[in-house]
Amino acid sequence: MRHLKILEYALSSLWRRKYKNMAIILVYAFTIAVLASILFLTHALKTEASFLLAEAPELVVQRVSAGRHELIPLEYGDRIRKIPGVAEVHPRFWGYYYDALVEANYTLLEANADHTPLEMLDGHLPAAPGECAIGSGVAAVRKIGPGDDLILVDSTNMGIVFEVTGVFRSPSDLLTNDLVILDRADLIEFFGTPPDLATDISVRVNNPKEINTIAEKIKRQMPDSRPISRSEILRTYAAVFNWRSGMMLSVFAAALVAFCILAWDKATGISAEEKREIGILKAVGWETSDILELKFWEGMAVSLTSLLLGLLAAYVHVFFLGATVLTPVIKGWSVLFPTFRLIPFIDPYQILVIGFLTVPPYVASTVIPSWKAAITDPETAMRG
Amino acid sequence: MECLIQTENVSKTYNARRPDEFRALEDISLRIGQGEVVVLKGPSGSGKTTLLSLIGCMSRPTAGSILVAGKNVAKLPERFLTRTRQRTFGFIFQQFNLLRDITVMENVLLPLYPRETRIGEMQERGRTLLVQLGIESKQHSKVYQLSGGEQQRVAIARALINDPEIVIADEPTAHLDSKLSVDLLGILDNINRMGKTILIATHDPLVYEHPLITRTISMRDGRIEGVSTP
Amino acid sequence: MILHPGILALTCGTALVLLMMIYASALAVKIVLRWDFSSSSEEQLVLERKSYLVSTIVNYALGFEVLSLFLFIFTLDEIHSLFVGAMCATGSLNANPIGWYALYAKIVAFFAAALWIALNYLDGKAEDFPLVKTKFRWLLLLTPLIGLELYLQVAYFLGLHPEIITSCCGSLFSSAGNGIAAELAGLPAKSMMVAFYAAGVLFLLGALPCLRRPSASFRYLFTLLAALFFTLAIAAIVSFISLYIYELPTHHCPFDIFQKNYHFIGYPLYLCLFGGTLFGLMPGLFQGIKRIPSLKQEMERMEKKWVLLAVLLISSFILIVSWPILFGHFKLADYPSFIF
Ligand SMILES: Nc1ncnc2c1ncn2[C@@H]1O[C@H](COP(=O)(O)OP(=O)(O)O)[C@@H](O)[C@H]1O
Ligand SMILES: [Mg+2]
Repeated sequence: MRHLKILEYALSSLWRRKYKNMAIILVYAFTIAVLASILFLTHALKTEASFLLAEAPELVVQRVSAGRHELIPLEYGDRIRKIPGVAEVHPRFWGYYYDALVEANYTLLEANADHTPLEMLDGHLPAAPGECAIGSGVAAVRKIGPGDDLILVDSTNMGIVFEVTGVFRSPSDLLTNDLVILDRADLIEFFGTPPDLATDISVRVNNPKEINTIAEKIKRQMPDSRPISRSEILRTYAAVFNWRSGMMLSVFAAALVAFCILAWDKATGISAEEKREIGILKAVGWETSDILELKFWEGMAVSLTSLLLGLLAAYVHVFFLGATVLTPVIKGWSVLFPTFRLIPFIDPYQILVIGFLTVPPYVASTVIPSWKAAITDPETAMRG
Repeated sequence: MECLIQTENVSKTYNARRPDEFRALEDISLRIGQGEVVVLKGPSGSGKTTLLSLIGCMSRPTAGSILVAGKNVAKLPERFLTRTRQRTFGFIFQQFNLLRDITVMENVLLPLYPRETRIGEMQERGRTLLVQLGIESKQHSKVYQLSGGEQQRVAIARALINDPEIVIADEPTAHLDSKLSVDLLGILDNINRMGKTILIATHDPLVYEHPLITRTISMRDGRIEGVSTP
Repeated sequence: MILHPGILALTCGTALVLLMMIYASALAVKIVLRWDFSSSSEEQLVLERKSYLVSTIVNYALGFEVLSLFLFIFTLDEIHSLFVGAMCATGSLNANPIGWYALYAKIVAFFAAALWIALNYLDGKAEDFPLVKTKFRWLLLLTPLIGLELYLQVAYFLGLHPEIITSCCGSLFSSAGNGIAAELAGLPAKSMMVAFYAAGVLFLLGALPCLRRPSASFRYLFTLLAALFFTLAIAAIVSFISLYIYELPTHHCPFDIFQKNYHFIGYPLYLCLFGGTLFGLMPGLFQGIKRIPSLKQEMERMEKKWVLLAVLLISSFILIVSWPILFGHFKLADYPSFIF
């Protein structure tokens, strides 16, 4: 009962000084928004990446020559198939294509590759040579749809016409935004891939626990091959993301320190009016611990309001405005990923972390000033 | 007559053992009985406010003992001083000490926030008091919209909200004209009739010559100069 | 070291709490040295007011400790995907065994801070500050504990490398593994079950004489039983309670029960266990306070409450964990190889 009444008083007292408190809430919310944007963006990118990899083969074998990724002989696939524990082997054909017209990169992929289930928005996947299906991103930048033609320039600088038979989408824009799916023969011809070579080889194994052993065997039998397991990619991605967000968090730390100084300053410099109020409260029977509780509720209200505002701002910024403010800071990612819209999410863990990074510093910088206010001598009220 | 307040050789030194050391009270011994209306009279700086704050459990004496309803409060931790103050005293301050930008009702209820009283009961009590003091029509007004006399009544209502045994008033007429001062004395008379002990510090003859007063204690330079009963 | 926001939050937060605690300890030293309640000097008043600051800081520190226990476990859960073989928080802990010690330190810090606050509360009940020196001396122990917690936590996170191949509850939490956790899981379920329920019944029975008789030895016994029950309960959660909750004969993780799949049962479960243990510890640990005349009465009143609260919380805990054992679909008996 008592606590509720003190809470009520704290809220009404905050409301009375709304303009003064507005300032601190805005700065606080801004700091939180910076942090939350960083975390939301990283997390969203991580989720995208895991979507990307969830359907990826357990093991991909590339050939490396002079330290660079090379086309791999199909004969390697036959040798891998003979390794015990290997279930399936598929040579894969794909490549990148730079479209000078709209200055965008596409990923060209053969039609029968085992990729993510695509959600067709319109039409169907290519069934015959000369046909293609495109991701919604490509459709948007080229302003084309089913029935239209897509003209791509091949390795001999010849313009090739493909008829668009379908437009698709998948849960994650990242996967399909820049994708163009062609018939396998078309693709081989388009890139001029020699007949006995493939881009890489995907391998399925019987027992997922044996992946590392099988990878080792492949490496031993074909020393110029590079087997990459899915979990390895996942972990590399995760490590890179964590490192990057760690970097950005140090930027955030600077903002936080600045905010704490402000909070300290605001809390220390309580106005004569507020000092008088606390003196009166103590004189009429409020105890030091009651005032401390009052200050605690005030701090909670300010923190929670700011947290809510900051989270909201970050949510809008990252998921509706495409994290426009942050993109310059994270150039590294824009190379990794084409432009795409992130999938909005709300993750309680993220919110907990954001709270942990922002509330304790605020509490710590206001605890001494509020104590100072709380020990105001009640006698001051008698002397004015 | 039952003794409600008893001070024994009380003295108060401000800033002890420092260059600006000041002995505000020395060797004050007095007894105040249940139902009395006692006036502390003396020039400015004679230590009236200091004595009221000691008796009213706002601060602790440097030496001596103070018994409030039989309990020695001279050596209590602040937490218990506050508790005693909450239950025993109602204060009417010289400069009303109201919060200007909250309503009359909220001001009156301030002492009850840190206590376990239910909100409904709090408001019931507040309304009764405001009715008694004739300002219930103002209960939702902000304090800065009120006249001096009305503000004084709000301050009185706040002093009575916890149903104290003893009401302490420090220079209650300092900011009032003579008509309002007379009104105030009327109200104090009523409070006294309700059985409450009243302790007033003043140098206003209008107050200390009022028939309501049972005893006048004159102070000078931190000492009791004399006691007179009309 | 993995730069993960959760890890950063834990490290910075604990460091901040440590800083505040060091400041509070400095105040405490000053208060202990200069305290003289018989003096009416202004300095004494200042010291009394400073003690408010100290207790406020410890209050916040306790709040942080409670929340950070959750954050710690959730973070372990988040980062498990970085380690080969880890499938839940346990896997992350096994990736660098110091993590277990960090977790223990956190739990001990929680109990220590909570007990300190109880002590502080009792001190505030008497009019002559009887426990000031005692409580501020104990505070000087609480601070190094937080320091140790920070150290272990940092050492744990620094020692984490993404390529570490670790073991998780399913495969290596079994008797074949090493470390305390593995040993716990390896305990034979049936004898563990008997021990757990025996300790529970013993603890609840131990409350009876505490409520009826004034003798101190019953309180000490009660506290001992509380400590014993806590240890056995944790062991039991790993050994068999988790199995019934997850309905799997090999899943021993004591942390997954916080998740939605298990209806967040972990929150009430641990709340009851930790709260009950805390109240169970207090009667014995604070027995000496009864010798202080100004607190004797208050103590006798409070003590009854503590015992009742402990009984209430621990019985709720036993009820919560027995529910799936009695009424769940899962029967450990269907998996004879896991019983012994
Ligand atoms: N906090 C303080 N520090 C030093 N001197 C004080 C303090 N408070 C009051 N005094 C001094 O004590 C004396 C008595 O003050 P007070 O009790 O307010 O007198 P009165 O109410 O009779 O005018 C005054 O001279 C005043 O300057
Ligand atoms: Mg005065």
